[in-house]
Amino acid sequence: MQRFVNRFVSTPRISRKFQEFFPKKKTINRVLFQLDTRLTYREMYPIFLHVSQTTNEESISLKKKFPYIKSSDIMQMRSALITLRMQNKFVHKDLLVMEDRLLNIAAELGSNDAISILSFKVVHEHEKENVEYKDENDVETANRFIKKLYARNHHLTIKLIGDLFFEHKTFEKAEKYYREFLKLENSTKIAGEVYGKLGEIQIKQINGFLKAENSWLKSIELLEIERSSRWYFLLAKLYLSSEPMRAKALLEKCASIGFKESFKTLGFLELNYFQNHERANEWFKLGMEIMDLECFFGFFDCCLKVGNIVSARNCLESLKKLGSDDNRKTIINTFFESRKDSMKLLEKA
Amino acid sequence: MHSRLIMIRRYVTSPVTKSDSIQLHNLVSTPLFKALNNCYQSGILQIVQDVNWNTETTSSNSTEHLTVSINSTRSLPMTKFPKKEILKQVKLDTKVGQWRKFMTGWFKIGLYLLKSYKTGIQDTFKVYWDTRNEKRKFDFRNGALAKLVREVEMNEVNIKLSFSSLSKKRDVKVLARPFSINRKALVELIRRDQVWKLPFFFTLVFIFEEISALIFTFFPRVCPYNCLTPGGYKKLSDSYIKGTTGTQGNYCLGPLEFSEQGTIKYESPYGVPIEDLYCFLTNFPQSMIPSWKLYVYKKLKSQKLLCNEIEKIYQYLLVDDWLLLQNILKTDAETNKVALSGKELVNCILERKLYRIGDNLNEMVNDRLGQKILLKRLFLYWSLRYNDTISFNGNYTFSEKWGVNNISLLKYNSELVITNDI
Repeated sequence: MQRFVNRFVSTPRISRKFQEFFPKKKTINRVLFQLDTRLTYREMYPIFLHVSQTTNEESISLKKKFPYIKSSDIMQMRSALITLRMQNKFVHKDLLVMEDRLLNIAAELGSNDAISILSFKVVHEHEKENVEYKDENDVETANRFIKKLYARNHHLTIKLIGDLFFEHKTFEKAEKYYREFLKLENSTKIAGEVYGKLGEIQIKQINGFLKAENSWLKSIELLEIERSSRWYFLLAKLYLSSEPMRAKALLEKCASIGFKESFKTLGFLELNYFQNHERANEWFKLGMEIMDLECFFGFFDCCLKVGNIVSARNCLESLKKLGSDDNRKTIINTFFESRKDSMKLLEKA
Repeated sequence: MHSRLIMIRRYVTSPVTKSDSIQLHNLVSTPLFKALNNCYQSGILQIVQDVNWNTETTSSNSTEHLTVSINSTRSLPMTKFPKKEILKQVKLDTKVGQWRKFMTGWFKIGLYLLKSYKTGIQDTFKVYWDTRNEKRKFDFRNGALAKLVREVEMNEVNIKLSFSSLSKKRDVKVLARPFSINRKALVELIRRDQVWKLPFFFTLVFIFEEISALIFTFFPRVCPYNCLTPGGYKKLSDSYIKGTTGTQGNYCLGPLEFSEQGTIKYESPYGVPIEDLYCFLTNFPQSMIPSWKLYVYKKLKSQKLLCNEIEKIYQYLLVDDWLLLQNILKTDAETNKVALSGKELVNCILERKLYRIGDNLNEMVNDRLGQKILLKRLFLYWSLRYNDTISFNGNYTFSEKWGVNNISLLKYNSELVITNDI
């Protein structure tokens, strides 16, 4: 009884808003298990609550309130939220704010990863000429931090330098930093991301076709599908002409998490290569739901092959309606031109 | 003269391709055909006849000419059985009495046959043993051929990347490019499975002794490939082509279809009925899978597994063709002569089904005109497939030109066998 009363008294009041946006215990627990965190849900929950209820200024008191906490734990809490965001494909404003706060707290507690991420954030914002970061001191500090961290061979900093060059399309330098990173770390999830991006650089190089394949294979081996769907798709494209069966399996994996481009590719693969019209129909239907124009074309062809005249007519009508949009007009007109004969047959039927 | 007439006998066009063969007439004027023809006429490409019963005088001479990385003669059967030469030698031998010339002649023929079996068996073992390291690197049963196709693709992409600004190439130019496997290793990896025929082969020889040669002539499929005699080989080639084309109009993979523009239509292996796939696979000379497995797949109606097998054949022919063409057409070929063995030429024709029922390929390859006919068929076949591809003289990659695993390219194309204008 006393235990119950104590617990009831010691538990801070939870705001209704927090209860609404914060994921359920079961969901968080699953992610924590995946990430293999040091702290349990029970130890993390009050911190989440505290962070959501306080402002940045009060964050220093966190260490006093929760003496067991380490900067790495805060980063793990942040990555739990990021993983959830990626799995659900849903961005909640308050959770995003919480992620930022956790990052700031981790930086204040001395996490090099957090410092590195924040420094690069400043550099990015400065490049975008954001009003918030017009202060040159901030940029100078950020640059100083980056240099210091790079000198200490900080893994994430090396990766982020590579990312910066990658965004600026300076691929040679990006490749150099990625390779440097992979020498230090080649079996983590971040390494998976690096392999993926390295593959994208390699595919553009002479003799890089097979190197890119190997890099993407490593990437999808290290990363979960939610974070590596792009490289699953690119790998599938690479296999499309030599191993269509393998490409199909990879594309299905992409489609399972709703990767937009995979629907039309899968649809056409089923329609033209595997000749499974029913399955192609299903993929095109899914693509049509997200208004992918090529899926409409594929669906029309598929309906004609199956002999589903009603659906083919409906599809044509939808396409005519979509044709009023100037951006799509030329493509739709070309499609109508190429399918002239089948349209005539459809009118007669 | 009679044999020549047989070879170039009047060609009867099949009713399926008669009206639709618009594109095929132009193959002779394609840049790739001209380049290949030039190579042959200028002597860059030579067909080497390495078979001679008198081993003492010619074997070293012929192996010098053979381009080592292209040919694997040890895994192929003889193209000429020197029956007449042996009998002539016995006839001229004064040490042999007149009364026993006939018997000695046939005894020597039998001895030659046994010797050829012995060499064949030894070579089959050698091929199996020598390719064991390659087998670890390239397991054809587990997608190694697809990897090689990707390597070909990579080479095509490389050309695209390096010549992206150039307009359409007119000359056929091929730069020497490294490839992870040479042709000899590729074909030997395919042919190494012949070793599994040896136990049954030994058993038959043990039971039937002298008569076994006769059995192998009538049932050539039980004999290891390189132990076949020309007679057995003809029986085998006839049975393959009969199985592929069937009675007139009833083709194994169905008739070759053309689009309205006169080009060959795209057909996926998944659109071909199971029976037809099985028929094609059982009639492919160097099958990569035992026939009983194919039968099980057919009975289980597993289209996917049969399609996987046909994809492998498609990929093997693509890589094989690509390696051969690279070797023949590479730019420094003006200084280096490329020698293709007569045995390999016959095998190329057999695998690509570029002959008709009744064609004696071994006889043709040993005759100058016949050799020209075989080469022309092969050049036409290559021109159809690879002309206007980026590896040689075009802007498209092979899969861009033909689509993914286009089964139409594996269909029997009787137009390619027209040779009456030579």
